[in-house]
Formats: sequence, C-alpha cells, structure tokens
Amino acid sequence: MSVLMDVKDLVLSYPKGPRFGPMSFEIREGEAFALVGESGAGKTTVAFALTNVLRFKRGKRINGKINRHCSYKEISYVPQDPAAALDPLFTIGSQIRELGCSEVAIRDVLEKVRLPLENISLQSYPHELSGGMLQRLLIAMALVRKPKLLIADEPTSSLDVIHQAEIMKLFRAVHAEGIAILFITHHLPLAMALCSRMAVLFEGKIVETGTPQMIFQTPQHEFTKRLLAAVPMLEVA
Amino acid sequence: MNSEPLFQLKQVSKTYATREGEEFHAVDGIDLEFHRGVSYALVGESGSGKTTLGRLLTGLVCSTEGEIFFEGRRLRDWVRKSRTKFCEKVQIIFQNPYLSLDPKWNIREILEEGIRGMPGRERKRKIAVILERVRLAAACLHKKPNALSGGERQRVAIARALLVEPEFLVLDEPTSQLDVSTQAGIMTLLKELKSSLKGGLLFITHDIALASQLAEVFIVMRRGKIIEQGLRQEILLSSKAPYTQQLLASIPAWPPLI
Repeated sequence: MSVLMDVKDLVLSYPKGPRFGPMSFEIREGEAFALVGESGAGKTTVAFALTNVLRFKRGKRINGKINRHCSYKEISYVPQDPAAALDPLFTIGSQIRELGCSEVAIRDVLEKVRLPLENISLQSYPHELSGGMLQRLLIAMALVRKPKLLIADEPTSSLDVIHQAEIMKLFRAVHAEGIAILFITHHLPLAMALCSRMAVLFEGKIVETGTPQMIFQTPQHEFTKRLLAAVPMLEVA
Repeated sequence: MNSEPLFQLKQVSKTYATREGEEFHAVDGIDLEFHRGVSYALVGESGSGKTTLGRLLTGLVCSTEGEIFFEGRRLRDWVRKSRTKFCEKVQIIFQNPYLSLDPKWNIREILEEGIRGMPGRERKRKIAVILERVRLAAACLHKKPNALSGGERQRVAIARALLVEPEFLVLDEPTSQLDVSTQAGIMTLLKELKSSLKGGLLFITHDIALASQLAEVFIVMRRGKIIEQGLRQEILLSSKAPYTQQLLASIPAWPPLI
C-alpha cells in the first residue's frame, strides 16, 4: 500500500491560542484511519491543515512537513455540523451545482448516499432537510469529485443512534470502493468498527498509534485507558 | 408499584402548527404512569417527541389534548395556581448546557435563584454542600458561565436543580453535548444522586447503553407514540417490537468485534 499523505513533525499554532504538535502519522492509499481525541485536542485543526484551509489565514503558523501524494482536488472534507456547513440563503441545488459537476454525476452520487432526487427537491433550502439528510448531502458533495481521501470530521456527532448507524454504513461502502478515509472522532466504538489503524490525540500530541486491536487490548498511554473506560457499557441485568 | 402514581398521563397529545399550516403531533395520545422511586428511560430517535414529553411533565408546555395528573391533581392547576411549589418537586436538566444558564449571571446568582426565600447563612451552607456533591470548586461561584467548560456547566445545572431538593428529576439528554470522558463523569455523578430522589427520575436519551446504566424501566417512543414499555431486561433482551430491535442493532459494538 502506497502512502497517500505523510505527516512529519507537524506543528500548528494560533497567534495567541493553542499550539498542537509535533505530530507524525501517515495515511495509506485506500485505508480507513481514525484520529481519536477529545474536544480541544486539535483534531479539527489537523483536518484544516491537511485540506490546506489553514494556510490562507493570516497569523497561523504551520511548521513541519505534509507530504501529499495526491492533489488537493483529490481530498474531500465532510464537516462536523452539516447545518452550519451549507449556506442558508441558497437552495441545495445551487450549492451542489457550484461544485461544477454534471447533472448525471450529481444524480449518481445522490443515489449512492441513498438521497435520490425524487425524494428531495433541489429547490429546497438547507433548513428544510433533517440532520441525517444534510449529512448524506454533504457526503454526496464530498464524493462527487471522486476523491482519493475523504476527511470526515465527527460526521455523526449531531445524529441519533439510528442515523449514526446509517451514516456509518455509508462510510463502510465508501471505504469498500477503495477511497481512503480519515475518520476524526471522539467516539471509540465507531472508530474501532470502521478503521484498520488509529492514532490517539491528546493535548495536541499523538500519544499512541496502532490497530484497534492493539489499542483496545494493550493501551499504553493513561489517556487512552481513560478513553476506553469512559465508553458506556450496556448493562442488562 | 401499587401506590398512587406520581405522574399519570391520560390520552395526552401536544400538537404544533407547522409553517405550511398543518398540524404536527409531537406527542400523540399517550397513556403513561410514572411511579415513585423508579428510574425511567425514555428512548427513541430524534423527532420522536421525547423532549416534548419531558417538557409536558415539567409544565413548560401544556398538552393540547388529554390531561396530566401529578400527585392526583391536574398539572394545569399546579402550574396555574402553585407553580413554585410544583417546581420545588419537579426539576429538569436541559440538553444544552451552553444555552440553559443565563450568561449575565454568575454561578452564585444562578444557584441562588431557586432558594431565595432562605436565610443567607443557610443558603451559603446549602450551596457549599451541593458544590461538593457535584464536585465543583467554590472558586467558580464568582465566575460567569462562559468561563466554565461544558461539563462544569452541566454540573452547575445539576446543582441548581438539586438545590430545591426535588422529588422527581427530568434529564433531557444531559450528556449529548459533552465529550466521552466528561460524559462518564456526569454519569457517575447521576448514579450517585439517584438515591436522593424520592420520586425517581426520567432519563431522556437516544443512547440505550447510557440509559441502561441509570434506568430500570424503559419507554420506547417513536413519532409521538409509545412503542413499548417494560423492565430493562425485558426490553434489552427480549423485545418484540421491530423499532426497538432496530434501536438496539444501531448501538456500535462494544467491546469491539476484533
């Protein structure tokens, strides 16, 4: 498996704000890789750095190296809050067309995320769709450009369990097509179910990398142990 | 469960008007009873009417049809004639701790609101005791909510509710906005507090694993209706309703299947 994205000693710092890193990890072609950590650990900042969003903002510093083996056009991003990611003033149709794809491609990809055009009107505005539908739409918009890497930033945190399970099924299908996924989450069970490798981020540093099996059975860092203990268990008796 | 129920719901509906002028039944003809000293969980997907039912029970909204009885008396009368007294018996913890605390007040003012009638010294003592119970530092009393983290804010909300020594507590997704380890801390706290609630509690959530840690009786709700109700073991192990099975199947496997 060749490496798609190789991150070496990456340090991200905001002018008067937090500093994350140094961190090193790699994402291989076609693999599902999870970045797990709590809020404030720097997960979203890493995603912004990888998608080249940070570079354009003044005053933010990026040190270290990100070796990309694909173009930025081949990286797609699914944001955390689907309602905030779309412009409330434009119809969803006009926002999809902005991506510059053919109607056929749009129809195909909407079908793939099980949001066929017959069910939703392209004339509707974002607020008219439910949270689960919006998240599907954003995944469709991310897939329409045929990416090699899909970065998903807490894609299910605003959904209930049933919709969460459906979205996870969708990600498994995307992964089966050979698209690499960087899955950013604080939800260990989801990360372990989808991904073959994972990194645990704590206070801006990667404290552990390994397969879900390694991390579940022999966690090394205190934070990982705490994270594992915090997952609620189903109590039947 | 043979005594008179604390809450009794008879054919209760709550209808909202939609933008298109149609009616939306958030809660649709529900018959339910809540007995003293029992912990209930109300589970279902988003939009199933869980929060509306919680708001109905706490008197924040009134039913469009049907009647709710609290201690044998109509809830409408409680709310209209003796609201303060009702609030001393039933309290709610809201889903979003970033919205449920007044940003202009400091924590002391927020906590004192419900116990203003008490003499000053008594009030101070009570607040000190409750802060220790919810594990908050006394230094936070002078801060405003924006200086606190999500978990700390939710602890303040829990402290505020418990200060009036309520009998029954409604918890509306109290951890859904929090990190997993913060969630674990709040759940530990709630488990400790459970015994101090004479009337019991209602835990509203879509996370069945979380609900199973706190509740003995499960109520499954969908589209404003009760799908089924039963003891935790019955619902989790031998539920017949397809919707409940779907809910159970949606829980990510833990420990992971590796």
